[in-house]
Amino acid sequence: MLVQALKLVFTEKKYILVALAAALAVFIFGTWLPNLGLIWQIVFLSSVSLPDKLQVLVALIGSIATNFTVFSAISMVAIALLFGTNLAMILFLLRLRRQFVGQGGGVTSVGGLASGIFGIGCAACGTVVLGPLLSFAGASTVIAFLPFGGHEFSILGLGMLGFSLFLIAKKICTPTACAVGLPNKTGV
Amino acid sequence: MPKLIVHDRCNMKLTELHARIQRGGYREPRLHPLQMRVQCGRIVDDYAHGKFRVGMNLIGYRPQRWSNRMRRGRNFQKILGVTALALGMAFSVPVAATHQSRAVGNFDARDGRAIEEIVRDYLLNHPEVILESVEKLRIRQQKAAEQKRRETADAVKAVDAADHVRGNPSAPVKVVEYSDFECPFCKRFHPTMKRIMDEYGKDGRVAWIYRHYPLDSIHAKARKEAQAAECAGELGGNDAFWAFTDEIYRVTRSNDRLDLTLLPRIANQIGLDRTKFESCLAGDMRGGKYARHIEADRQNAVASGGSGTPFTVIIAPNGKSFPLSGAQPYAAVKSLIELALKEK
Repeated sequence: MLVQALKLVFTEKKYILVALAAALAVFIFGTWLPNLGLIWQIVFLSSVSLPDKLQVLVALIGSIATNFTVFSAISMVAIALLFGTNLAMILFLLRLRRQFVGQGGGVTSVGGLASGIFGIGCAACGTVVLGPLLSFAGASTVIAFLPFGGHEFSILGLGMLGFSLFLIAKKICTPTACAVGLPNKTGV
Repeated sequence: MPKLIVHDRCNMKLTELHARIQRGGYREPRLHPLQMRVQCGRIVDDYAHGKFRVGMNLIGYRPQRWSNRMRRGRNFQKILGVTALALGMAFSVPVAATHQSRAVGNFDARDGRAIEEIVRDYLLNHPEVILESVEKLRIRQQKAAEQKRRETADAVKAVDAADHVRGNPSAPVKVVEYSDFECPFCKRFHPTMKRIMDEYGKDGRVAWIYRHYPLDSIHAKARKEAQAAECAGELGGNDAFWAFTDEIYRVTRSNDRLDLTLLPRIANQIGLDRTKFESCLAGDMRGGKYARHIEADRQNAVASGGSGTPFTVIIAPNGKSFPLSGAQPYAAVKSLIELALKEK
């Protein structure tokens, strides 16, 4: 079902682009996270030229190789990709339902459903925030109490995104039609 | 989802209006509420131009033209325009937003919808207001960033005789590193800083200042190792401190896996008197005779904004500082040093 839904969504180039753009955004945000204050400062520093600003911003992305453990780097990439896939599939689902249901309350219910599923994905993104912050021993006190040194959050995030993906795939594969009441075992 | 622009009362009035027109005499209905003035006025105008028919679904219907009545009411609109401006600004100023929302709270829901529509029209007619507010926000954020930078710069303790400096102590750019000997990212960052010093330290452009930031809750041995480094400095001077530091980072497997009995051996290896070193190192795990110095470094790291290790502050010749968290790659540190060198 999941593969079927993925094939359905990613046959269209625009959804591939959406997924990749979202994944890239999450990935970059994750690598910048420990230095958001610095980035803020650099971006708004009038004495710094635009090429210099860009140079710093791009260079900080390289922290994926130096400021992450192997596990946290892999989970960061995985979370980013899953997030992008989630977003693309949600958009596909919304378009699909809008075509069938039309305007009005139907759209609202699809919107509610989409935001519900996306909410799970967004909650998972909280782990993107925690991952890099914990990975460089920032929250040392917290880490001291965690058996896997903060990797729990990444695993939790991956699980939530996976669950969210499953729910969307299920919705995409479910036909948009009223269910027919099947006869019971006695045939009545 | 289509926006409900006209509420039921307006729809009702239009039906009434249609009936009046059918009877042969058109009189503009007396509509007092704000939204009637705005929305119905426009619909009446549209009706007159044949663009609106009674009974049509008003959901998603957008009036096309201004009625004469609304043209006459431009002054009123201007007053509301100021409100719109304030509302626009409220997006960028949370405090203002709070006050504004209180003011809007005095209207009922219909008034609110009408105001929203007016705000929308105003912004469409004066889009430059948005740019003005964005510019104001940018300036405000710049000031806040500058304030934060000043606070960080003030918090970082000035380099003094108690510090361990690699390179030219009066170099224009100073890189103050707060580090933990048992932190794996500090171990990873150490060669990066050595490479930086190879490039910028030889001609005296950058000085590297090392300060202790032991994370006791996860690295119980870090403070003792910091004490050992201080002892090396006491016995062999600044060079011995750096030689000892380089060696610890080279041999440690991080995360408290360094055997502390290796410390005197490392001291001996770099040419220090082992007995004197052991005597200096004696004491508890809290840093022995250097406990106060190490704790002062740690507290200064926290005060400067450090929430983890390695935490590095690059200080430009004009005092501007760039706080850098984590084991950032060589390219990032280099680009920040280049920025700092330009800040004269």
